[in-house]
Amino acid sequence: MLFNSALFLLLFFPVVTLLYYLVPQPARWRVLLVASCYFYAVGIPAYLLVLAAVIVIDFTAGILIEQSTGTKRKAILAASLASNLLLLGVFKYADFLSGNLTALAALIGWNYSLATLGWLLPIGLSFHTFQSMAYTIEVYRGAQRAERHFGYFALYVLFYPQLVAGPIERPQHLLPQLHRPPLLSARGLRGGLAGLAEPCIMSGLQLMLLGLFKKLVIADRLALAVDPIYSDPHLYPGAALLIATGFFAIQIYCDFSGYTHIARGAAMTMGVDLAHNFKATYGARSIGDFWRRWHISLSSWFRDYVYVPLGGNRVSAAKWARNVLITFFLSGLWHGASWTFIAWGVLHGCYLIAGRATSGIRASIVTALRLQTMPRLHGAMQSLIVLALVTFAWIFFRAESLADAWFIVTSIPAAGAQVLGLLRGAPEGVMVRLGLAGLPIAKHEWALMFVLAIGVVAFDQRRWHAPFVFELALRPAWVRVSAAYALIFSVLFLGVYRTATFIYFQF
Amino acid sequence: MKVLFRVLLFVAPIVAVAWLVERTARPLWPEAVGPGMVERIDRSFADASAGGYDVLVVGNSRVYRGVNPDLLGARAYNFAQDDDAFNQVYYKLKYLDERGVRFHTIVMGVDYFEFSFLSDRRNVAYSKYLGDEYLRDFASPDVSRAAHILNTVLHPIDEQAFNNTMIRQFTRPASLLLERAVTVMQASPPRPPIRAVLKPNGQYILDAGPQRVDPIRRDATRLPIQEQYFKRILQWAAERKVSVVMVMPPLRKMELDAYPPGIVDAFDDWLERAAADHGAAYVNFARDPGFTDQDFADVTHLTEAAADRWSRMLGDTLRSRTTR
Repeated sequence: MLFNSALFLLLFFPVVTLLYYLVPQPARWRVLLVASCYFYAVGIPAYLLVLAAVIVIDFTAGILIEQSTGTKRKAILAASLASNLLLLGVFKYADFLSGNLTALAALIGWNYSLATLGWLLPIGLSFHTFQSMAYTIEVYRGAQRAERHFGYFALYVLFYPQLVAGPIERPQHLLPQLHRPPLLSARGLRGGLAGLAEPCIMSGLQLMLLGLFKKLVIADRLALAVDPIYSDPHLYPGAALLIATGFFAIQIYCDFSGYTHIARGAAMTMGVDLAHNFKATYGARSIGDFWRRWHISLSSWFRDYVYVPLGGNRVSAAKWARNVLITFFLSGLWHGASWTFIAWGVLHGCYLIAGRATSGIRASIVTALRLQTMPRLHGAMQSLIVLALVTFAWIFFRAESLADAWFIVTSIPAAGAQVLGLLRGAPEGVMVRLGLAGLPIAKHEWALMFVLAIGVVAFDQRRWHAPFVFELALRPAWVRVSAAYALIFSVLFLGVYRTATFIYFQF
Repeated sequence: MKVLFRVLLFVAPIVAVAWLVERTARPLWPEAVGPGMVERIDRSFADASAGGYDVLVVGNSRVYRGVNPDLLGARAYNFAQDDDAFNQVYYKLKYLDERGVRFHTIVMGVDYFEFSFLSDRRNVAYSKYLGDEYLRDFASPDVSRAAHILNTVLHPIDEQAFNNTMIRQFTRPASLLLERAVTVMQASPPRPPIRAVLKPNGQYILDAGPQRVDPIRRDATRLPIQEQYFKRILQWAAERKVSVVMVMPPLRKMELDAYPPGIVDAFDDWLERAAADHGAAYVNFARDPGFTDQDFADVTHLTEAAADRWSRMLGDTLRSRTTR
């Protein structure tokens, strides 16, 4: 089920939230579990069986790990992780692997073809297997007690707000909240209809509204330009490709952070506080900083369960570079069974390695230009450079093939001349000169897109204290009400209504 | 009670503003988009059922917008519609036949991609005219009752209808007002509005402006079901001694290039053979040098002026067939 669908907004969410408050606390997990199964079944019901397999395996593994010691404990963990990875491998990577083996065989002259499975990837499989694996690893490390209640463990994997695209929760954070929502228990666990007046409901609804704004007004609007250009990049000049790439950087950010706001908001209405996934991402001052602000729950997963066990940064420079490349290779692969995602991940790894290798030179430049005396200017320059590097990497993420990505990369340098050429042209020829005239988008809509895209980047430059909604909560009532109306009217009048799925649902 | 009152107080301005925007934008609506899809189809069926013409024009949007029946040199009516393929054309002919409407010629638009889809986008309007037999093609095969019930439970809301409502009530009126506001702020003469008109002769005009870039994808697959309906139309006409002129509309070079090499020529051969087998004619304007990119209102459709020019050419074709 999509968060931006009528089914979710008009039926599922209001009914489930109302039921949640109407039933007594001990039975609420049942309401949520049934609702979560329905939420998932709206896609392909049969794939609930895949989730059931993950749940049964890791629930059993958790208890067995806790009861075991020594090598047996390690063996159970390995078996649990292997089962999860096998499921992921079969559904997500089998066809990619067989396609590559077939291509490799052809390259060396073998007439060898492997059959492809052609199975649809269960929505969000990468998210819930990673969340489930985090549970068994934490139990193995002794940081989490094994959950003995099958219903609560099933809910930990299936909890509908974060089921299909995260945030990837840690058991220590989510499981206790499912037993006893802290935002409600702090107020004495009010139940019944009176519970609906809880402030967490209002905060949750505000977060959801902000998420819908980011998705419907910004991300889906920018997609109107990005999708046709990236589906046939060869038809467009460099300037159009540059604009589409810039727009995609904003689109994916608003799409994913919009999803996360709705997920966190929906959970918050039930008193559950999900993990933060974004912190003013495009205000990042370095690539490392970017990864502390972008998809935080995934990057911290890779940090804790891949990068640190490999040795992290407490090793030689060469081994550190190896650890970074392995981690980012796997991060790219996690996003999708395609070389474009792998290239995207490895490129980010290279950025980090290059950043460390050039830290001395960059420090000398800062000193020579006396930028340390102008911290705002220095920060803005750093942010712009990070934005440019990250946006460049998005080309590989969004392109439909490596060949398309390479075409775009090699076409963009010509954009400068095309944009400069505008200065000599008549204003009515702008869209034609940029190669954008063929898209069914009116001029005022283009203007709106540019305003929204620049607005998102500018907004992220503010100093991040807390999520926007919490910052807003400290303002006077008239500011809060005005902001709510502004968001509602924007969603209603400027939203793009076409039931577009969220980009991260495909992972 | 207090909570309910506060909710109502909060919602009231939203309803008021939505109403105001919709009311203010309403006068701009018809000139920008013309009558809605259901209204166009209703009018089209009513006018076509009234009869009084000798030539019936059928096909998809290229013909719907591209053929001006008044210039065909005969009493004609344009019964085409956006997204129509041969299944819709067949049932439309059957619909008129059952109502005793007679004509001696059918001008049927054919498109290289018209065989490649089975569109249900207009079924909300077509279902009341074309009946259960037409709708049967859209039913999912081998769906058990349990699967049907499960599907209904899992998808109780028509998402497309919801989106259409949101567009009609909110985003389209706001977009029209925003566009008008930008024009006023620029203090420049207002841009001529997009003309959207449904003519009494059935032709639909939706003029935008010539486009240079053409991000177009075309699929020349021939679905068996559409081939079947295509042949049924030709047989139906042959049985009633109605002559059929199949016309391939003028296409942009970039569109022709979007097809895999050789497919267009093979398709032409196939259409010519099918026409010969059923005593019909096939007239191909796809590469007519008289039409350039400037003659297209968008990636696919002719401008009103180009449509008139093509209609005169079609009229000449029809006359030459009659006098032959």
